[in-house]
Amino acid sequence: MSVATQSPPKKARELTEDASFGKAYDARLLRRLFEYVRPHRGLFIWALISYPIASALHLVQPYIVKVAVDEHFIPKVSEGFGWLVIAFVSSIVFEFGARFGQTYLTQLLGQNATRDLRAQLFEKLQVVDVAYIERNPIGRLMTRVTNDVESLSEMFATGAVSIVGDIVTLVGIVIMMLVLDWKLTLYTFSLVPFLAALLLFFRRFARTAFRDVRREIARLNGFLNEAIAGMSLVQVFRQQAATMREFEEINTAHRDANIRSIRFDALTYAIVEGVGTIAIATVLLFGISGFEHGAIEVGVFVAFIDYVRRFFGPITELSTKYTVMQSAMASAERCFDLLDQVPSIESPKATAEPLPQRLERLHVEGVDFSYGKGQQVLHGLELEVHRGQTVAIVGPTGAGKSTIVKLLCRFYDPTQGQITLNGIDLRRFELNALRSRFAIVLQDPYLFDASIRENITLGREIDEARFKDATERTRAAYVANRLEDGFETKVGERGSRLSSGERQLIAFARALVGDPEVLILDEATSSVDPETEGLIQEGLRALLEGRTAVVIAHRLSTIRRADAIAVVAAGRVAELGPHETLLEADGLYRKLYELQFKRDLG
Amino acid sequence: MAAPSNEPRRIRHYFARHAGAFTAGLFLLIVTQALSLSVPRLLKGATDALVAMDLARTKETAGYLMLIAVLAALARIGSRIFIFNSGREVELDVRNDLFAKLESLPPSFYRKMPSGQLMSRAVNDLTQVRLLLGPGLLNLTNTALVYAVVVPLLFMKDAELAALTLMALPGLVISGQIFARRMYRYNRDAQEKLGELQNKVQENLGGIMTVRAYRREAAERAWFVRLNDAYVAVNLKLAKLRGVLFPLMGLFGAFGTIVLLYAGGARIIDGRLTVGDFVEFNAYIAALTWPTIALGWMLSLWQRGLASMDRINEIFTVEPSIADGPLSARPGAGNIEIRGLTFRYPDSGPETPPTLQDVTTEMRAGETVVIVGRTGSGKSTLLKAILRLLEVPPGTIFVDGRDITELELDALRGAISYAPQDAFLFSRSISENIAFGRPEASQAEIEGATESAGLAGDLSGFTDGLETMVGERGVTLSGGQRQRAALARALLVSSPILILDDTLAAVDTETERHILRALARHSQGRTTLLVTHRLACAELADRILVLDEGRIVEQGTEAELLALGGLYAEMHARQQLQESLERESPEALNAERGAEAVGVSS
Repeated sequence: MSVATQSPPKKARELTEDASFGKAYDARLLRRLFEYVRPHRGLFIWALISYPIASALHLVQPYIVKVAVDEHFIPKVSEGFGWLVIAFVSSIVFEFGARFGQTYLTQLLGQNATRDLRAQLFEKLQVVDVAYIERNPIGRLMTRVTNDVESLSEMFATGAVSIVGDIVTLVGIVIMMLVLDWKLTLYTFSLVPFLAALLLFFRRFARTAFRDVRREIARLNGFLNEAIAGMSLVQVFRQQAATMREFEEINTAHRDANIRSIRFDALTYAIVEGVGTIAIATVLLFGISGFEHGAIEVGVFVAFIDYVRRFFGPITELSTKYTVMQSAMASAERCFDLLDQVPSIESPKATAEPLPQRLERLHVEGVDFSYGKGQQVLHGLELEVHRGQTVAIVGPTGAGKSTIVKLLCRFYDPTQGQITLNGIDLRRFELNALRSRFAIVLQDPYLFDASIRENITLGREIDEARFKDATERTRAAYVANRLEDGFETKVGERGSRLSSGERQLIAFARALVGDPEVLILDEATSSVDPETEGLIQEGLRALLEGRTAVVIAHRLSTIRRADAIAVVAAGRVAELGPHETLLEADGLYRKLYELQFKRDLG
Repeated sequence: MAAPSNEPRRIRHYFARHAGAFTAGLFLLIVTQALSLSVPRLLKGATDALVAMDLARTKETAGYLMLIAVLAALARIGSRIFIFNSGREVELDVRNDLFAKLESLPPSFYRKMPSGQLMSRAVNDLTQVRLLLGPGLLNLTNTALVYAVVVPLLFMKDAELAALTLMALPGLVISGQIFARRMYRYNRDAQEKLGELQNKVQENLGGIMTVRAYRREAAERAWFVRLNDAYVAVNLKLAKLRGVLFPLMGLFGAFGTIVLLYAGGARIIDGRLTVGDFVEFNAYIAALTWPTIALGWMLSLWQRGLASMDRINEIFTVEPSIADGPLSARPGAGNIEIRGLTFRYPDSGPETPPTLQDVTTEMRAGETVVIVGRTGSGKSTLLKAILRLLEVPPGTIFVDGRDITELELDALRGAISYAPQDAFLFSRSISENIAFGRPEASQAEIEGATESAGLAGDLSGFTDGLETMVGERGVTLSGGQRQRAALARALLVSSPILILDDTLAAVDTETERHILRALARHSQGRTTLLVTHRLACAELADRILVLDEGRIVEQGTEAELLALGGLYAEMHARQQLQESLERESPEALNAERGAEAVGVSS
């Protein structure tokens, strides 16, 4: 018996995906991962020391038994046996100590390292281009911060990171055995290549089986999830029987996939369980001639029984660890990939231009923009806004209106042309300073799962008088007062406890409370009930009053209030001017307007 | 379909269904253990033969060892396959039963129990039950067998030595169980913390533009760090647990070996025991260690399995609040009469007024009735009440003179075609979605419905046309396209009553015209109920019902209601105004169609 680290009884551990994993040890990745270990050097060194100590103690125990058998049991000598027992006890107790150090320190190290990595990935997401985030599904980006880091942490937790250490231990066992009796050792392992081949053969099938299991689980969960969501439809369309049949089919496929994997699991397990006994039997059958000449001591045989157990015991674990390492390396690669993203939208590298005290003029100068190849959204867009002016942008969705908002906030930079503030390119200002002068209200305002107050202040220092004033003027106070906890009411995920109109009012307050110099507003198109509509109109009035503003407008009242209207069609400003002038110009704007009257009359 | 019972299900009943396979597995398990436990005996024989230099006997024993190892492996394969497969069979049965039960439960149940929870019952809890019957049963039986054989054997050999060496086993059981319980709890905590972390990342990415525009990055980072630290803290608890308890279990296990070396050694030197006895004792202690550790683990597995079955039974024992009435004759003409219907959602607070209050009206067979009213006025509720998707009181709704609570659900719903407001589609092809209520419909019929619903044009834009997959594995349809698919699904089912809940909300004017023309055709001779915000639909109506705060406040033809100058007239005027603002030039609309591939994410 020994203090070997045995894995806990196998829970139904879901294997990590093994789709197309490369090496389990990639020097480049490991070097980079080591950067996260470096700050915790102390831990690392202690863990490193505890490994060989635990292994050496582990190896010496069967040898002590051998000495006991050969020098005390067989010749029946009790002298000095006490010391041997003390040596044995010490080796076990110290191995316990070393194992604790090894397991605990490795995990401590892993947790510290992965915490740092996780924080770093999240920080990266705060600076990476908006374009990058829009291009990648949120689920995939989330996986980087959670699952991928998890699989690295798993590498430390299961001790997979010490896989080399384990192999060294195995080699150590073989060396000990060779030293004790090299011939017997050869007999012991004579069957190993054959069994290894058999196990590898099963492993290949097992892998397919496990992949099938994962696929079927995904299918089952997907179907179940959807059936639950659409259950009332199933009932209304009276498809219970058909749906049940479909479910049974998927459920059965899931069972069958599992049953296939059980088969390989049982085979592997049985082989691993039996291989030790078979090895011992081989030694006895073929290696026995040595005993005839008195060349082999009985103690060696006894020690061999023990060494064989210590050798074959952790073999299955080893293959699990290998898989863990493989998936950890793949995850590391993906994490580093995100960390290596270079944001193209940043504050200027050299000295930033100081922001002008007073913002006089915002000018979009001949801006071209495309999100990707062959998708040009803006074509030489020209737009000028002077201090205190409200410019309304009208036009169909997709004409590039929302893109203008993104460019003004520098979520994207123009492909051609520039946007200037008092004549200076936006790109020459410090990004944070620039954004601090702007406030933005998006079409579908995003609320965080926090209180209304937190959603309005967004962590800014806002004094109570200002808060009260802004929330009352934008009518957000009205929304809050209707709720049980007023401004302290939690709004739920994405603000789900509020209606879309109410969310807009909160976003108005959020913008006004910072008293921004420039307001960029993308009016919501969704219709709301008349009462909320009234509140929104009042809130808008408060928001736009005397402020430099660019508004993507959908309301007649907003358009009327604007100093100038820019009609954007197909990425260009087609017409520009105040409402009356544009009507007289008899162009696109007039057409839009007349169309409305035709409907009014019809 | 016969409704499943509301009785709790017992694990033993499911066990009994597969009793044959379970019994076979358990029998093979006994065989496995009988064979495996004879190995230490044979090792003793071999060792003693070696000491005595009786090589013939050694070889003979080795032969037996080899044979037994092979037979034990075969029996082990069989026992694992039988028992684990049976566990999977039970999982299959319970899941099928559970799904059948879910199909019988009304929408109110799904409102009370979120789908996440249901999924967790059907997946996680069921896994626990399966683990109880698979690995749980196997290991518990195993432990019992090993104890039943080994303990008497050791005591018969040398009672004192046996007592001494086995002294530490209770410690092993206890530490095993502590380990299992804590591990489970910490793992659950860790999962929860990881979930919070994940939500934070999702929220951050979803609201990325708001985060950037309001320079909330630092606050977000701080928030993330807090969650990250909390998660790491739980993980460190896990690390400590693994670090201490693992080696500790090894230490308990090694205790027996230490005692054996010390006390057993003394006996060998005295000549009371042979070296072979030592080897045998040692092997038996080793054989006990693992099942003892597993025992602690299995006991908590057992408890969790039972607790999970209880949670699953929470679903099995739900009494469906909407069940079949005695009458199975399907309504024919489609005359709907509502008498004094007052309805309050069971989960709404006592102060909230009922959603429907004293509604009395009649929709005569063949009549087309348009229902309008503000958001929350009870329109959808009224439609759902007629479908008996809600718990309507008896004696309030009659179809063809029969109380709907007296009808079989299948008969009632078979008389109605329904397009719900939320336009839920399943992840399958568009064609399968449309034929959902009539899987036997011909291709021509499906195409006809698609044409009527104004979806045909959209489909020609997809390469796979009607066979285009919807949802995760396929295209994402726009809100309007989903609605029209849902409309086609309803139109394909010919029934005396047609109920459409705000199906045209996200459809442009031209398509709306097309659909209205088709609807006029489809509603010929059918009782048609149409809830809408788009007053253009009113032209179809024989009669308009205006709902406000759950009451019918106006009804009549459009002309009558406009003349009345009440709520309808007011809504009409407001809508004219609003629509006028949404009018957009058609050529610009066309230009936009291609460009909006990159959407706004927040």
